Amino acid sequence: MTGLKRNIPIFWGLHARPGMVFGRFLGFLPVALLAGLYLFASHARAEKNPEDKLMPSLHHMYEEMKTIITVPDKRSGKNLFLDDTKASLKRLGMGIGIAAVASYFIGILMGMFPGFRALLAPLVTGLSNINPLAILVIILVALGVGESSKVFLIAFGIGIPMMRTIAGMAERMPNELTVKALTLGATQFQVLYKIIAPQMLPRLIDLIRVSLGSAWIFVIAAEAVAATEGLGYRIYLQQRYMNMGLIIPYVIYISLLAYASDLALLGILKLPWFRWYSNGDE
Amino acid sequence: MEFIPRPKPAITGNEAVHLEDAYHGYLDTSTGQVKTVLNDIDLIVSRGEFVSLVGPSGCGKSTLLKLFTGQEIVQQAKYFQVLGRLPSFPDRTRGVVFQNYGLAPHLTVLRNILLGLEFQASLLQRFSREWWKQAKDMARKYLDDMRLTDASRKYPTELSGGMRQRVAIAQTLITIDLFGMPDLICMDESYGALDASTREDLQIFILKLWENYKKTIVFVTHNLEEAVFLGTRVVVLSQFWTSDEPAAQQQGSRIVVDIPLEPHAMSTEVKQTTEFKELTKYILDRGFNPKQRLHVAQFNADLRHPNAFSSLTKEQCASALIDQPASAPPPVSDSRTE
Repeated sequence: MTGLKRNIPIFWGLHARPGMVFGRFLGFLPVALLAGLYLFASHARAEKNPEDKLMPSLHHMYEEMKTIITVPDKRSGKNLFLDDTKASLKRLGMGIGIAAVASYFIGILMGMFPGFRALLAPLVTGLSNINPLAILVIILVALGVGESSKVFLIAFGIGIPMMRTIAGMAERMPNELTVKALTLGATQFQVLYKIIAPQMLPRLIDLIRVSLGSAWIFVIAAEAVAATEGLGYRIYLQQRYMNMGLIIPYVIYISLLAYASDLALLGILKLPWFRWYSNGDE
Repeated sequence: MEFIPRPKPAITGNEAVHLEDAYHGYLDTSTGQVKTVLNDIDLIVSRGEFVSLVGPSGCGKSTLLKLFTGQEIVQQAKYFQVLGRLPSFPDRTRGVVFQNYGLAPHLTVLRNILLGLEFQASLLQRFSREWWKQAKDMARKYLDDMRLTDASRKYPTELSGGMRQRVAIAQTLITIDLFGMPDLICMDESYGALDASTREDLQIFILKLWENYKKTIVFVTHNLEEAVFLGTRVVVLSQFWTSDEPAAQQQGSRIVVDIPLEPHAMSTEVKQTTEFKELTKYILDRGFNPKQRLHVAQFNADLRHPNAFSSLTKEQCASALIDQPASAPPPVSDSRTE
């Protein structure tokens, strides 16, 4: 077997194969480096000024989080952490839900039926070019500072681009599929709900995953401007006290929530129901 | 060469397709002019015929098929009827089998085959457990016939090309059995993506289907052997022809060969016989050679199918008396019966 062995690089070059263990180590390296850097800087600043607020220690952040999670608010007697999470997730869920339903139905109609496309495409294209954050003030004036304005911002912000994408996908569905269904005796409505709509469902879920990032931006932005509870509201409230000890863990918590919601949607796509979608080779 | 106009055959009312003086083209967006694809097509197909439609790439075979199924609307024609009426948008009277995409990717093989049934089911049946059970039992029978029993729960992407094609045929077959529809089956290069042995299997299969049901089949293919083997009639559409008209009017394809074939022998061995090979060579010479363009008057004189006709004008054939390069004489009716 001698002479057949090649030297395979583990890091450099096109042909590198880092392998399982070393690969994991590589991924861990920059994260550990940054975390170490932070801890070092935080420690150094604390030595200079024990009252330092910019870079709190791990212990400080832990204490802050522990307080907000376990101790009810003095004034209202409520658990702020739980209420914040609930409020933000509710807004996010409603916004995404409305955006998904509207973009699914209107998008499919626009994609399948040229009449609907001609009717709605210019409007939707126009709306999709409006920056949702730029009209946040208009939304607040029109819908008030209650829940509806926040939900509307999310639904509008992600729903309109989703609608465009769904319409494009439905339009690009192979025409042969529609023709085949019609020759098998399908009505136009049957083509819609038996052939096209079911195929757009996993694509919609994929689209929601892509839109999750923007959806979180809109939640936090809306809560920052006008709210009495919510994860974004808490962060902006603590900004007044420069309370980094709470803000930083909250940011991490929001990131974890976003990651978890993405995983949940991915889990739906992995269901046997959508087997045809995930292992498609076409 | 004499100018011989071919008279229209007597119309019996038993035509599956009746197309006269048809022109069809596309707007070429780069030049802004209409590019003719089909030039003066005359075609009558009787019910029960198995027509093989061949021709060079880009000759408009698929376009002609799309006119039959209703996917496209003919731009100009003196007369156009499919199954006794002007073809409207695609419906269940005209079936179609594509090379790709015919199957719904989100449905299992069983559900794909059930589609034709489902589309016809009443609202009551669709919610009836009993109806579904019966329908599935019926679909399984077709699966067994098609040697797809084990694949019933698979999705189209998990199948090989040959299996997909069998599912696509089964989809149409079940509607023929139950509803007597479609009467016209258009196959658009259906076997194009199959390997040789699967292809022969399915050729035999479609022949059996045609023998059993006597439906009209228009089979578009690239493969001349396949065309001659399957059809009761071979129609060659080709853009390689010439006439005495100005060059601008010589665009598009015409029917340059239209020959009847004897009834089929159910064996692929006939493909090895000399007659078979001569016939494919004749078709190749006539329709597929851009360097040897035949004159309209000449190939129109050679259209041999009883249903073939063409409406030439004297102007198109002014020089028809001038000698044309003689091509191989058309072979005598082939004797492919066993």
